[in-house]
Amino acid sequence: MSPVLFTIGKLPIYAHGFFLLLALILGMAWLILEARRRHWPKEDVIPITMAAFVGGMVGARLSIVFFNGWETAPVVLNFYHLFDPRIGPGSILGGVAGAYIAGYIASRAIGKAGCACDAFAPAMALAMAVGRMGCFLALEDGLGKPTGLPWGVWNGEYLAHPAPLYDAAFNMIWFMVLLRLRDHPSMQNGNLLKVGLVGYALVRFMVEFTRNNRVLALGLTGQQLFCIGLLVILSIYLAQKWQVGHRMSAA
Amino acid sequence: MDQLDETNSKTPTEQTLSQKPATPAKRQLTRNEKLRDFAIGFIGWWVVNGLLWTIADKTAFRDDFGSVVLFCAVPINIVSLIFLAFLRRWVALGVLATYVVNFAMALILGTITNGYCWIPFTTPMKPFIL
Repeated sequence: MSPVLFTIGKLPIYAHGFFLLLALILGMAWLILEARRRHWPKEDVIPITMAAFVGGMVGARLSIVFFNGWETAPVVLNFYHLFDPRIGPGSILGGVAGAYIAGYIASRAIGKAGCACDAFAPAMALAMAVGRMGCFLALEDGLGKPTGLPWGVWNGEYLAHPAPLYDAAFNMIWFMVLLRLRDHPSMQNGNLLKVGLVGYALVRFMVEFTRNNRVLALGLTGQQLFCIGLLVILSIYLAQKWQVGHRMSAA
Repeated sequence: MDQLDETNSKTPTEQTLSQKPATPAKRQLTRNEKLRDFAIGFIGWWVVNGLLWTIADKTAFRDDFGSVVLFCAVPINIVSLIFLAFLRRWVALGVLATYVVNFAMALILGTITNGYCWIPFTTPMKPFIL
């Protein structure tokens, strides 16, 4: 494990920051490729992508108050600490929620018909797969709970679940799956992103059992409660959509 | 044919609504107007937030006023950006660009500062918390 990935002269380059930056660059590059493939006009791509990026960064930070408790508020809710590189970005779940809300608002503001968010689904999975490598190398949150499994990783105190690698492995597989699904007729108009989010929320819920995050209620972490909320909202949405489709085909 | 049937099946009220003349399209901004609005957003963000930050920084440790300003900066910035997005799109894009620049700089500097997700809360950086 190496929090310092390499040095340039005497300047250390840290794994977490490096892989986070790399993840965002790769995610953005994939989004641009996907947008071009979908013939998305740049007048739409640029503001929606900018809004999603900013919303993601803000959401990631603000969600820490929910996940880590009110005592974090003096830092988290201080607007000017948002841009402080010493603090780090926050939670990926909050980032996803913030990016979705901001992208939605931006697409409504520019009057875009329909949902363009499907282009984000594989890009998000790719970015999360890469970003988690940094979390693993930085031993973030002690990696995970103690384990006796053969792939347990020594975190300096005990053999731990390599939870970031579980996340990364799933996201890499999920990226491939989403690529296979992206042209399917039923996976258009926002459905690909919603399916992508359902898959991530399900797996993240399970991965949380191996992590050291703070338990909020019912023996579940804030991240797990968030995943349940997300799954409920998406289930209601997909059920309603299915009902409408069913009624239309019956008519 | 389908379209014709669809029109005939509409109630009189629906037909009246659909036959209502479209509202006149918004006037398109010229290139210079777009650039002006973008610059207003980009520079305006620094001016307004610079002012807020100066007030908050000078008073945060003396009384509650500075803390209130720091807390209010989040909703003020978010709500004003949403309003601008619907009212003055190019001003909003200018504001959005300042965020992108700031976050990009923070991410680049993050590679040399070892700032990872929970750092003020799990490592001995308590003096950093206000």
